[in-house]
Amino acid sequence: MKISKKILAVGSCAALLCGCLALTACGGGNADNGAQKPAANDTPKAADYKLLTEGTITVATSADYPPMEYMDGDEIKGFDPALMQEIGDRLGLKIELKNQAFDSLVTAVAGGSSCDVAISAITIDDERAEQVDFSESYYDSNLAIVVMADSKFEKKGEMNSDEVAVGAQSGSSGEAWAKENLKKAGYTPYQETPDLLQALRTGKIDCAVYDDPVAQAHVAGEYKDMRILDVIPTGEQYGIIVNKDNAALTEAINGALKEIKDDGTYAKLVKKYLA
Amino acid sequence: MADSLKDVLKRMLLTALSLSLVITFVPMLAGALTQDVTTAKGNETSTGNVLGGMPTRVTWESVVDKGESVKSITVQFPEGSDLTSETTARLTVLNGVERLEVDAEPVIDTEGENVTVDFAQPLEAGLRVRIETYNACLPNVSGEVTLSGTYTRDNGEVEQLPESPSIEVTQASLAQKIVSWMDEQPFIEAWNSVTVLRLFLEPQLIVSSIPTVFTGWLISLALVLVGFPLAIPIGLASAFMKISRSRVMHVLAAIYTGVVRGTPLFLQIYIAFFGLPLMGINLNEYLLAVLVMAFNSGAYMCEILRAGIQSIPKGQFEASRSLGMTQAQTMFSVIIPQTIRRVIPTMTSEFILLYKDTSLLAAVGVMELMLYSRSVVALTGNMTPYIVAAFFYLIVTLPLIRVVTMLEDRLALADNGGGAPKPKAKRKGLFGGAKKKAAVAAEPAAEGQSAEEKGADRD
Repeated sequence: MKISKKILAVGSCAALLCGCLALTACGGGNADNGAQKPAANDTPKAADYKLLTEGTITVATSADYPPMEYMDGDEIKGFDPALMQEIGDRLGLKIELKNQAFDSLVTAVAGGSSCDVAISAITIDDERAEQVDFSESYYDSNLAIVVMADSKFEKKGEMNSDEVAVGAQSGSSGEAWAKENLKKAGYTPYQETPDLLQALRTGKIDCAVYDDPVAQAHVAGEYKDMRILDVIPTGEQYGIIVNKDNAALTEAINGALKEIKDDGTYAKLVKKYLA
Repeated sequence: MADSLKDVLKRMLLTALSLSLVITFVPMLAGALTQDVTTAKGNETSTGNVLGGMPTRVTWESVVDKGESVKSITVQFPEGSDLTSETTARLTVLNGVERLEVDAEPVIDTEGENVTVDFAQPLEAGLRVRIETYNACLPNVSGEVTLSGTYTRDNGEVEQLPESPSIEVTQASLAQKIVSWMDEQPFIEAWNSVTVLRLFLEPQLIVSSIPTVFTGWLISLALVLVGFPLAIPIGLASAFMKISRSRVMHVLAAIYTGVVRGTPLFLQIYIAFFGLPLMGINLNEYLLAVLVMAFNSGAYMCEILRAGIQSIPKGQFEASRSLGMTQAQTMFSVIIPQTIRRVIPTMTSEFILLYKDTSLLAAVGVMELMLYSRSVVALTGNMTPYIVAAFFYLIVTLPLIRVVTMLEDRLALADNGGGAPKPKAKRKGLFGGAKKKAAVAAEPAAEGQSAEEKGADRD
């Protein structure tokens, strides 16, 4: 009785292990299949790049950042999704949008099994570029320090003090700036921008650092009780991130981006969403 | 009081004024570029300090002064710095907040440890130049370092750059040293060349994230170790309310447990963290975290304790009362001691759940295990810190799960009429359960005096 139980246990352990191995093996196999399938596709453009789903670019975005990307009901809208749709149209591919946390986007694209690309006001940065490829930049941006309208603070110089609490979105360029330039201030990361602004409103933090275009839209719209203390001229640029093993896709996106800029569609999009 | 305050303010104003004068004019006298920012990105994951001898991103920023134009800039890193083939540089030129496209590419001199930019069109006054150097190593010292360098005017004159604001550098810690040693090991390189292993189990990141994640672990543990004991009295009180004959009390307790158990903890955390401050109640976030955890767990505890109390046979109440004990005496000397024994396994499970649920607090910015590991993941884009975090969760939960199983076995035996099992009845190995049961069954039933009798005898 005792022995048979032991055998059973060892047996089940072995079975589990085998199962795991088989799964990983399958995973590898799938990736290969994915690489070959588009090659069979007839469009000459699609010849080289790999997509998770044939004929569709799976796009991850963190839809908490109006006007760049936001949820409208259960639909993801904004400048970035619209731009991605244009790119898709030009490449003859469908666009499927997925909403996920901003700080997981780079990892998701680098992993390459849940999405093909991510577009989410992601600043081009050489550290991120070690893990993923960036498309050509599609928008110039700056950072902004946002405070409550009735805040006593007047200048960004005042923020680097141990009496100030700063917040930013986890994994964002605002976070990097705040940590590097406001060293004396206490820092709290928030995963979603609405949480960050709620924290500002409730006084948990004194200021929030994030992208200027978004901050402008906020203080003019839903967050009239806040103001922009200062714009930090970082001149950062947004790019679309693509898996490093998928250089052909980056190239295709760059081509489409150029077309969009040249034929005036880009200007229309900027006017529609960001003007 | 007001006078002295005025005085202080006046003095502060004067100092600020004179300081700003110095800051504006001194560099102007010195040259055509005003140094604005020189910073380095924190490269020690746990503290955000800038470590010497480890790659970091150095940002240098200057503004071209009035009436000047600049053709070329060379930023010289201090002695002991190291720019390697992995070093990259990024140039940004801004007019106010508008980015300008310029025809220039930074060139890195890995021998001379400097970065040079030659502008095809000389930079005009008022323009802001930023040079970000990635993967640059600052000298491995403790103290302040500054960047120097030269710039060339449009007319070919070469001038020294004014001294930059200083960067505070810390000497690399032991963990960081281990990491740099690991970086050079071929077997670790081989390990990391497998994508899955590198993304989930990168040895360097395991070492460098342990101090950070450990801090978070201590906080998570503290949160649950304070929150859980707080939940017990809440649970006990509401359990009494629930079994009391008073209808009002019963309804109140039922509403509490119903609402708390019927809504996600995540939602309760959001309401507490964003709702209370709106009402003007501003509590320390750790205190608030503990209170929410206790409030939530109290409802579960209430049900656990109520079930425990009601599982004691009614005959014991009647027997105690007929011995002349008051209701309170009956409760606290007869019923509760037995209840505790019965509910300990379930309570331990509740503890495990609560401990794991501290991770939900990460969403509202309470720095605990989950958020600490997430901050490293966000910085590195690698899953390894999550695996380290999982390990830290498991070193608490796995032994406790084992304890629960053990306690449940004992309880099952006691309830089967075997009395409390002897402590020496050991379990051998993972699959020795059958043997133990046989041994205990052979034990004479009369040997262990049951806890019920003990409790009843005491009064």
